[in-house]
Amino acid sequence: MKENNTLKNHQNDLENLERYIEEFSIFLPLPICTASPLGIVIDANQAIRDLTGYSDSEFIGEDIEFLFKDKKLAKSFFDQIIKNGLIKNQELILVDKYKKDIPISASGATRKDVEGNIVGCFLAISDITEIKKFQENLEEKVEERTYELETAKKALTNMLEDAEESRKRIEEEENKTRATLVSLTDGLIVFDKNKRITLVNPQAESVLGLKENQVLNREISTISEFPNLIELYRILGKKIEWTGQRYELIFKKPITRYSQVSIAPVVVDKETIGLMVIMHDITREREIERLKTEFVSIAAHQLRTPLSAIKWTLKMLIDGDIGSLTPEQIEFLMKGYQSNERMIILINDLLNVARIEEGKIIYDLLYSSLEKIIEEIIDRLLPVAKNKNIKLIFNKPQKPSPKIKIDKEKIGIVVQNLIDNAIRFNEVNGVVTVSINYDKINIEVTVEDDGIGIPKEQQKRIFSKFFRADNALKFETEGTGLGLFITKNIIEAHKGKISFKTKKGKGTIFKFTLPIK
Amino acid sequence: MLNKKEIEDVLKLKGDVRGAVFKTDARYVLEKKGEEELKKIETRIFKETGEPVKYGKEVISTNWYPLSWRILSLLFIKDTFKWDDEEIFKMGLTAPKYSFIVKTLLSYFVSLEKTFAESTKYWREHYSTGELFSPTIDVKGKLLVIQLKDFESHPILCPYFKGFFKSIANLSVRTKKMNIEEDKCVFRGDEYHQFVITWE
Repeated sequence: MKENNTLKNHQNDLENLERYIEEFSIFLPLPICTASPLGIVIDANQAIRDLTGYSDSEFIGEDIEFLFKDKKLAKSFFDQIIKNGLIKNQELILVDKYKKDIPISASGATRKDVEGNIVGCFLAISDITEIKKFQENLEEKVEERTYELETAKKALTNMLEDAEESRKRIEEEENKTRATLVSLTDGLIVFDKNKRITLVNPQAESVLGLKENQVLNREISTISEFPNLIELYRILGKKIEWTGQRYELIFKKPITRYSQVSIAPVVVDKETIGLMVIMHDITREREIERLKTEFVSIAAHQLRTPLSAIKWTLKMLIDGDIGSLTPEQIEFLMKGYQSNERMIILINDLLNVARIEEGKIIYDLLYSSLEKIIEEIIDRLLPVAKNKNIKLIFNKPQKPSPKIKIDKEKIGIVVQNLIDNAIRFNEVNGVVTVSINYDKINIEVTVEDDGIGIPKEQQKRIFSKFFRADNALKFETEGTGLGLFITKNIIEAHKGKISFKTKKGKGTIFKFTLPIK
Repeated sequence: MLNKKEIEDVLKLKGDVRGAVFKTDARYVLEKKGEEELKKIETRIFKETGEPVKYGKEVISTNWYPLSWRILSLLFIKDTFKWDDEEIFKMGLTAPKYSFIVKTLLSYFVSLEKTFAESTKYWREHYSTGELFSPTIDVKGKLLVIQLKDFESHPILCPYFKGFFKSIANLSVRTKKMNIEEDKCVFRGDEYHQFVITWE
């Protein structure tokens, strides 16, 4: 009876144990299985069934490595458990029933009987998919970031290399530019945007009597120790601006030198980064001009005396003061006389040009009446006009114009040149009209003809030395080409202005104004 | 439909079996057919035999139940689902995997020798009738012979035991290929049942 009770109790205990294990197995969220010492799966809990998708019948009885992708690693892991008693956190890839790889962390411990013999082992599995994903994401991110950093580093290195290359190129370019500027025969001062001096080439150093480092990065207005630089600044109107104008600068020290000064912008990639003052030395040209003018002046003076003697001698012969001559002899002498006259005109023109170039064209300024001067000239030219049957009209103002301070002789040359041209370059039966107008400031003289006009393409050169328009050359072979050059210079020497309007074949209107005061 | 005579003959069989067998049967049917079908088996057995065979929690694994119930369970399952012997073999094959008693009694399946050396004890713990022996346990020769003697039962248990013994052997030997044959059977005129297991 007692034995039966004990048996019954044991039976109950076993039943309770089975129930307990079953409930515990279902509840336990950690996938666990047991394996025999041979590595055969003996039991598994619900969590492992859920994880692998295998039922007990499919899973129990299989070799433990059956679950894993790397069979060798799984077997080795199991052997290590048996050998060491405990192995923790071995990462393996579990392949579930549906062939899906599941990263897991496995831990195993041996089971022993009361005598200490190994009777199997427990195997606990943790699904580390999320951790792995996180790790992979992290690794991906680290990899991406590393790649980005490497790319950025490469880009930065390239940029640095490019920058270094660019710097070298710029330096090279600067050196080249500097070498070019330094070797220029023209003096050059370069200013930056802030009008500070950034370069003075050796030629400018020589002309200005300074050294580049003495003025570098300084504003020209603050420099007072170099007279030639001060003079340059004065000539430029005490401003460094690009006006397109050209200035003439005369340095007196250490020797007299002439420079033609211009300002040009320094443009890089369409951007103006500064200005440069260019000083072109024209001392030699000036000297040659001076010598030429001097020579012309001397030669003309020397020629004028014998030409005058010839003139008067021929005049006396023609007039019969020395004795009567045959008409044929008179005709020959007349030709000689006219040639001599033309020579005298040329010499006078050359002398006037020489005076202009010496800056001495006017020197005898007196208050004179322009009307009188014009009348005298018209009287002198009437015979010439009559020869061509040209009507010469003089429109005087209702009130006589005021006398103005002029070099009477030179203004006479101006009027003579303009009326003479109007007659000479006019057709027979043409009309030449001279008018005077004035206001409180200026007197204006107009000489209008209905002659051959000036071709459009040659109008710009009409006041140049020795220039004669093509149609003028065909129409009238005589003429020096100096008349209008002299005329313009005389008017400008009187602070007046001269201009013209013309149309080829229709006529020309020359107009000059002179200030009353 | 089961033959009434056959049922009556089964009910006449003597001997008991541990309740664990109903639990393993139930688990197999549950996995294959579901709870509703399992209930139907219970109902049908009771209806057709008057025997209260149960599969639920009321079954105690270690309690003794009539051997006839165990046979009725298999017969009605087989008949209801029109299963063949192969399916009964599979039921036997899975039974040890589900059985707490088996796993407990067979001392962790440390080795084939130890497992089957305990087979007689195991049998006695499981069945009140018959004797189980393992006259040949040759691990090197990969041969295991199991004899079941003095066990008056029903032929349906032959495929079931085939699966059951194979499964036990499988839990004790690492092999991918194991074979079992019942080369002697009382229902074929032999004195006892003999199962021969070989493996590679």
